[in-house]
Amino acid sequence: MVALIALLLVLTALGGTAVALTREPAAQAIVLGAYGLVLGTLFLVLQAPDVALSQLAVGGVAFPVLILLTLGKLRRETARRARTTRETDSGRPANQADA
Amino acid sequence: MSPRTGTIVFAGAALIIAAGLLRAAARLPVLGTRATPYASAMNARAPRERQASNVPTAITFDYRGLDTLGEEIILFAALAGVTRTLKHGRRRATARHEDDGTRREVSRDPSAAVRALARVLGAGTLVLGTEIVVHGHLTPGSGFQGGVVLSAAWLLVYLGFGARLFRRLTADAPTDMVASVAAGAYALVAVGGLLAGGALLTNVLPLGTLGQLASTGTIAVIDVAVGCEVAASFALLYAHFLDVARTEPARRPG
Repeated sequence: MVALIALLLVLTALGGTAVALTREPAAQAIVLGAYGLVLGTLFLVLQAPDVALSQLAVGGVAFPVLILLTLGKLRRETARRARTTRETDSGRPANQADA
Repeated sequence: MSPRTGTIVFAGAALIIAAGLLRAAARLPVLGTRATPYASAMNARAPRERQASNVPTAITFDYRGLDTLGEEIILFAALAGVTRTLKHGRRRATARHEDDGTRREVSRDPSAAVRALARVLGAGTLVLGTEIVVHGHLTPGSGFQGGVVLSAAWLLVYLGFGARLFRRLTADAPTDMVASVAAGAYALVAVGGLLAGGALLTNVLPLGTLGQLASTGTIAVIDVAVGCEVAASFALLYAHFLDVARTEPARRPG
């Protein structure tokens, strides 16, 4: 049991460091989800199942989803503004692949 | 402040804080010591006084129910803020960028593998979330945890069945009503305690026997209300974010 707690504490430390060292925002959101999973398991092993459930659902699902949706929106806005300022009024459809 | 100076200042502050943290950590109880006085008292009293086997839920919905009421109002206010910002801000922004005011979807149809996985996982998540909410006073987890698990089910519906079904399930008016009614129900239960002659949030319903589904009085009622509110609030949050992220203003015909 103590070995399990020690292992999860080490994984938590590594996970937190990995999240901080991931520079690309979209990748960081995924690493954050994995780190949330490790943290939730740590809470479970420390005998706090309610907290573990909250952490798994929020830190593993809700938080990365909201980050990724915001990033997608920002990327689309930036691409759209770049397209609007540089293209002529040629009728090219607006849903081609973003840059 | 140049980056180099900033690094030096950070290193100094980090050393001081690390010293304080280590000193505090050395004085904590040994890992694995469970019997803090408050925990022991609650473990002894809660099952007897409230017929609840999930003591944290009894604490959050009964003994410290007022704090949880404030929490639900925070979630409600956050949802109101997101709705206000993402819906009306978007309307002003599209008017400024002179398009015809309609928004066009840029999502693609999900593949067969994603659909199959979403079907299985979505059904399981729905059942798991409902179970966690309904058994809040008996097993680990309560209204909040079950509500966020249910919100993951909505996301699986979006991933596997596309935005149209997701929006039909989380249409603005009914989901708003569920969230508002559930939040109001919690407040009404609190006031009900007052009306029944006790203090705010007094447990005035029959308590039943330990381990039965119909036990713990108002704890079970508040639990279901919180579960509904959290599930509906997260559904609307995702719906607003997805609406803004997956659509873009249609180009004015050239």
